[in-house]
Amino acid sequence: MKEKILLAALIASLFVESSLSSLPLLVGVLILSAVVTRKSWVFLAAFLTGVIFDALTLRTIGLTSTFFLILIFLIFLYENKFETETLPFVFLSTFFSSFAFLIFLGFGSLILQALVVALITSLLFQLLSKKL
Amino acid sequence: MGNMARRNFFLSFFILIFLSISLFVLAKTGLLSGPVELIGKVVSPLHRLTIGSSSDSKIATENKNLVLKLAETQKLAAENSALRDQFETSYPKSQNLLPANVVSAPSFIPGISTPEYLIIDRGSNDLVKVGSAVVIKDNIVGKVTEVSGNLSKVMLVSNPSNSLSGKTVSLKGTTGASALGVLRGLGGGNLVLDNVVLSDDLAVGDYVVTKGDLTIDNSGYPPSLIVGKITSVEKKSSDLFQRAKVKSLIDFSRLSTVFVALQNN
Repeated sequence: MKEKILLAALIASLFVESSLSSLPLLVGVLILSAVVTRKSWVFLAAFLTGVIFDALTLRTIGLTSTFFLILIFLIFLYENKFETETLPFVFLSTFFSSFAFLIFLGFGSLILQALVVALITSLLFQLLSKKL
Repeated sequence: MGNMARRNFFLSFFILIFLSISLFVLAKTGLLSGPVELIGKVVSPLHRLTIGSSSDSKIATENKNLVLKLAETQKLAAENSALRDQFETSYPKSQNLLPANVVSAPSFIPGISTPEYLIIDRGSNDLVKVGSAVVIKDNIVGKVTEVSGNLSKVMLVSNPSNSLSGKTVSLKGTTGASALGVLRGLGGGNLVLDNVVLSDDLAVGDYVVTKGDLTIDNSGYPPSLIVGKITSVEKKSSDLFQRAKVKSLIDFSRLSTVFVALQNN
């Protein structure tokens, strides 16, 4: 059930991010997927969403997917040493990753956008961990 | 995470990161343009919505270039139209006319002052000489007063320093006789037809044309070119002469292409 919700959230954030808003929602949902499911399909999801996102936003194909893959790799590496399925980790990792992603893409309002995404991801994390 | 799972985890990551970097390199070298175009076609409905802030500057630049091209095209169209009109005009003969672009109107400030001189992009290199008449269709525009290599200064027919002889042409066909007089510029596209004897008929709406004051080397105003239309007549029986105000049919401030009547030599 969690995986289905995360998959739906991934697709929704992909379309929102590529058409309506510059909020890096994909970063948040991918981090959430890595933290909650801890499965290697998240790599495939990161790769595919990155490629589609690049195609939709007319960027060089492979740029965003490389960023996403490295990000998920780092999250999984942290998992071996720290407890990742916690609210502070989700909030902070989303905030800093979103911040880095916005710099990477050259967007403005970095702190505000990263904060909004961190809050949305934290909220979604709370919902997933409590109700499901 | 078990050993097997760990191996799968690293394997998945390295395969995908390799694939991702390969895609990036291929896309950068342009080898991926075909598949990218295909993806673009598939997602084109959404693509229209995805023109985000990153591509805004590119579109703005493209838009600016297109506006410039449009302005250039409009200029060419206007020039083409002026040339066609001029060549359709039987008089003056188009073989003797040199098309010229108006490059400036000194001391002309829109809404404040009116043009009294024009600068055109033809000069002595194009055989333009002082005294050459400047026309548009069968209307007189003015006379060349100064010439440099590539530019010439044209004094407009309505310039207060200008005077020439003129005659009226009545379209009402009452008497057919034309009134002769001296045309003097008043500025702002207006002239006065003065020194017209009282016995001549002057009527509002009559056209005034040049009488012609060409010199032997073909400089000066050719005959029968339209100067303007009479807007008011001042006639007093106690005066020796009557006079009429003449308004040029040309909006000198909007002229972009004119034609210089070349002299024989």
